Amino acid sequence: MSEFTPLIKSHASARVRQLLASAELDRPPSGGKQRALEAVSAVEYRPSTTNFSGIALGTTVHRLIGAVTLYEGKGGPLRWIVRGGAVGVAVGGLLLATIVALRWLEADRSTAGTNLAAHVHEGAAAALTNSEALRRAQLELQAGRADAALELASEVLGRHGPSELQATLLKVKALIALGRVSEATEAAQPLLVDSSSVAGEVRELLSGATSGTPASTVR
Amino acid sequence: MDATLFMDDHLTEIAAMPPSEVSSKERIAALVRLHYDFVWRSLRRLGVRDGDADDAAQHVFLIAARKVEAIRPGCETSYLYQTALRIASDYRRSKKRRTEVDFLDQLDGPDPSDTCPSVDEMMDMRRARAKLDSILDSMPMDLRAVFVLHELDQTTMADIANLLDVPAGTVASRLRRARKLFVETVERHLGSAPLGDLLL
Repeated sequence: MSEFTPLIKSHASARVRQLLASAELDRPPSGGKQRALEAVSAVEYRPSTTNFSGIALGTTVHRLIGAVTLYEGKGGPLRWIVRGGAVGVAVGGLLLATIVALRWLEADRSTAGTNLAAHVHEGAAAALTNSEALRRAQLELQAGRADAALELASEVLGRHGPSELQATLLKVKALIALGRVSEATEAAQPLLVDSSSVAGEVRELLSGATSGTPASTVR
Repeated sequence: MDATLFMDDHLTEIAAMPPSEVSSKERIAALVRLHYDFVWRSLRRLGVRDGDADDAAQHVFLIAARKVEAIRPGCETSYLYQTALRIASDYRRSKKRRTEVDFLDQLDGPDPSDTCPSVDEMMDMRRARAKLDSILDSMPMDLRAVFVLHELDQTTMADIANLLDVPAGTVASRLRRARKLFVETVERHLGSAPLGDLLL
């Protein structure tokens, strides 16, 4: 016999075998099957899909109606006032949400382009580190957008950090590019205090600006 | 061909048809006709008492009726058995179990329509059945399911694995443990209870 021969055949004890044999008494009652058939025939058969979002929405609406009808009197006008108010609030909220969403989308699209001026105008430089802001300023200047470069450089200067000299140089260049030479000269003063290569470069730029060198040559 | 076998084959065919080929009503009716006895016996052997097993079996088929389209063709027996197992587990948790003494007090005596030749033998069988219930009630449900399927229903290990949707190794392991527990409990019960004298 294998390990799993049923105990009713294999167990040494007659007691165990008799206990197991008593299960022969397990017979369903007469009529049980018929009763089960009658029970299942009364079930309404529907496709077994479950609309969870519909259930959630329905439950919410049902609860809202329940909450609203708490205050209804016996056929009084209060019921209609309360319900109308609830509907009004719901519609108003929906409209407000739609307007906010549209405004947000509009704002998002307008800043999606390569022109960084809008970002700069909205203080987007605040979200950038100094080095990132200066890098962008350099790019803006090269792209011919001196006003944007000026904004970024000024932003960095306002932070009074270690990038101040670099920001000043960019600001000077941007001002020269914009034709604001006197302002450029004034802004350049901190850079002209020594005889470094930066100072030499600034002097050259200012000299060129004063003598009428086109702004487009400023990089 | 034997009429009963033919009918059974026909019902099996209907029960295993996909929803596109047979109506839900026909399919569930075929399931009831084919498997009612098995479901009833399984519930009984999983601890649902005689008087409650009929309702419990109906409950199994009502659950199946609501989900009949989701029952994969060929997996009907497994679905029904696992539903019966869940219902029996709930029953076990919620119903107060009668003691074996109470149960015996309610025995009316042999059923006159029974074909058992001896009244005394019949009474012995009923007492043994009550004892069996009491012993099986002490077993955890996962072991009990494997034990009754194998030892009482004579179901093969492979079929038990399919019914319970567990690996064959798990079935073997549970059966070993269930047997050990069963025999230990039998020896403990028969050694102490006065009813032990009634069993040889």
